Amino acid sequence: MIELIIVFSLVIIAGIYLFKKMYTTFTKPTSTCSNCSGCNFVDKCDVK
Amino acid sequence: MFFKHKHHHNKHHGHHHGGRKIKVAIAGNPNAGKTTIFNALTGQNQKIGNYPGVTVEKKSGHIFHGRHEIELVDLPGTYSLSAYSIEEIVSRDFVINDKPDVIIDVMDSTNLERNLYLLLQFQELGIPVVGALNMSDEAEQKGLQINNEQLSKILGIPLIKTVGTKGLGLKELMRNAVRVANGRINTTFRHINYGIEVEDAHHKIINSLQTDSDFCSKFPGHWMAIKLLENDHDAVEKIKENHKHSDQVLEETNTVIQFIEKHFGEDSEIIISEQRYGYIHGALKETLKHSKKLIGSTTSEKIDNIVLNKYLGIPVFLLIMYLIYQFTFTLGDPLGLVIEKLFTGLKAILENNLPQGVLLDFLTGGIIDGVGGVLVFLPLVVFLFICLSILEDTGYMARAAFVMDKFFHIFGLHGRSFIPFMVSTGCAVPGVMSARVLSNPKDRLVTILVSPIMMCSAKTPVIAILTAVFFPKNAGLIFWLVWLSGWIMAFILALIFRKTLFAGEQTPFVMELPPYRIPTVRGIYQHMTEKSGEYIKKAGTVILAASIIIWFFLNYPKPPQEFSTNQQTTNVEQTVDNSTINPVEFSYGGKIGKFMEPVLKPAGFDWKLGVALFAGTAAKEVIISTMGILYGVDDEAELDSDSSLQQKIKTDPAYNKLMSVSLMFFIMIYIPCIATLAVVRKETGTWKWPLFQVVYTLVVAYTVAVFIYQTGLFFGLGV
Repeated sequence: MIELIIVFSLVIIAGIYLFKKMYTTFTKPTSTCSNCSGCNFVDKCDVK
Repeated sequence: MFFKHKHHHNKHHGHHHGGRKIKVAIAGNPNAGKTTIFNALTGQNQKIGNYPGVTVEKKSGHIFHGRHEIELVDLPGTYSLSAYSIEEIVSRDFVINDKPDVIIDVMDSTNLERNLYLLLQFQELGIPVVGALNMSDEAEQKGLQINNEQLSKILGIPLIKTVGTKGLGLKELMRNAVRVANGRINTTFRHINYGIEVEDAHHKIINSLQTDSDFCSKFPGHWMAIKLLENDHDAVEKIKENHKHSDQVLEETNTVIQFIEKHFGEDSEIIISEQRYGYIHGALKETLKHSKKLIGSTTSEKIDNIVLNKYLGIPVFLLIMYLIYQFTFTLGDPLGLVIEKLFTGLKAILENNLPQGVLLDFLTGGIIDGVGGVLVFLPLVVFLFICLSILEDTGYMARAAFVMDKFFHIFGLHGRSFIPFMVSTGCAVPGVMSARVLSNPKDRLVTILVSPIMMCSAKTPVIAILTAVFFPKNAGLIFWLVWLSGWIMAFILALIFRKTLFAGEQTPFVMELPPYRIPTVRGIYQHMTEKSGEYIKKAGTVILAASIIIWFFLNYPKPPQEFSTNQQTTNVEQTVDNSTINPVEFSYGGKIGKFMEPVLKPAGFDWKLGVALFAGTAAKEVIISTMGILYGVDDEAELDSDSSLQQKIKTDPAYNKLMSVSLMFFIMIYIPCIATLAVVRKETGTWKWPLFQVVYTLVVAYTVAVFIYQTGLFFGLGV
């Protein structure tokens, strides 16, 4: 029974994590200096 | 003479946008004929004085051109806008403080390479420019043919051939200067891409400069950031005197400069100037012809003679990529086996120490099979990234883009699309973002739509496992072919989009061609740690969470009691092919797979692959995780838990060579991962394009996979 509770809790945490990750992927800007692709259009960059 | 002269005293006139009074500065290298042109334009009507505080002579004059009163200022002759001489400082201070409406850059046509260096710096400063290709008669005598129309398109400024001594072309020159000054032509571009490391550093400095908005309104931020990167002492002084947070800015500057210098093993100033010359080299390669063939003398030129050769260029690129995949497999595969052994050992430890039950099943069948399956490919992905970064750091990548330009045009793609394509070979997310290098919106959109079809580091493990199982002897070759087919498919689709959705003209492009450089060990090490860090992080977060969810969906609900012993039954739910019932089929995931099976059958895929492909839309590595978990749950397969995923696939009768090819193509083309779709949505600003991408990639992937499988079957393959 304890095993089941542990496993299902982890499944729920994983579900929440994935959902949150998906939500931020679609809502927050992804363009940061660390993944800058070296394009020279600085004026179009979200980092500014 | 063409111009009415007017004697005038030299007073400050300020900025006259679109007005009748226009301030024109005449700049250029020493001995480029600048003064001759200034004299020809102003005649005897000149005022001679000094620039404030220095003994540098300042000449100015007034003329009328049409309705416009023009103040002409002759700037001191300089080669650059660095701060090595007083003339350079005077020139740039004048440009920054007095903000002329337009600069006429007088260039010596017989020595364009050196003269364009100054012009590019004016453009970087954000000042409108018109170029005078002076001494054009001498250039022609020397056998130099300048395609000034093409060069003008590339630089985005009017370029007028002049002969100052004879007054030729000056009327045309002034006409264009007035048009630029009135804002009818925008000439201020920052063309040069200084490469990822320098651009990244540049961003960081701009960010710190922007902490003082007063400073930013006085000095152009992009230019100031580049000057700081160049270690320009005058720029440092200006920061100290004018910036509110000068200490932080200079500290940030030092940090990024140190990073760059360690990465390249060279002064940051040299790296920047090489990149500028690289741009000029690239631009002149397309626009300047010597009637007398010159043979390159430097090592860089000798290598370029082969690498940039009309006929050899593309084969050399393909050969290099082939060698990279061979190398990656030869080294990555054995190391992958070591990691696999580690996970098998871990599994054995857990099995020996934990009681049989749901927790053990979760840890071994869910987490280890899911995450471990992906981590096995870490060495492969890291080696691939090392090779790609070496290509980038040596300067070869720029050459490859240069060579591919004409080829890209055949398919309606811009030469610069090469960059997003190559970046997508690592990951489509930065790939899609780097499509910003394309200024034409149509070029950019087509590139964004097709570049996720490229092989990426997430597809790599999936393709790798299939090639390793079905083509073990030629894994490297097959992998390279799959990579190549990704490019070919992207080209074909781009051509279709260009002919249908996005018909339009193309703009010319220049690739920076700086001299070749030997990459530093430190630079390679940085790439290696960064990429492996990213891969491990993704495996430990997204892939781990996805594996847990998939494990749940493939295990629950459990089959009813009568099936749990896995016996043959006469139940109506028994599978049509009369084999034993697989417990997975009762799970949510199993049901989804079974539901999709009739549609997938023509492409040769069974329901298990349906589940894996469905889950793989989250991230492509998840296909591997799902397959690992599926075989873990599926105790029908008579394999011990130690056998690798490769062995399990090999013994599964549902797989064969033909189906693996159809599957590889399907995986390459079908739906981009969620992260890519999100970035496409952000870059295009609408949901329309990511949704279109989902639909079109699915249709194309399915059509191609069915075509391959059915054609193969027709010819008796895959049985």
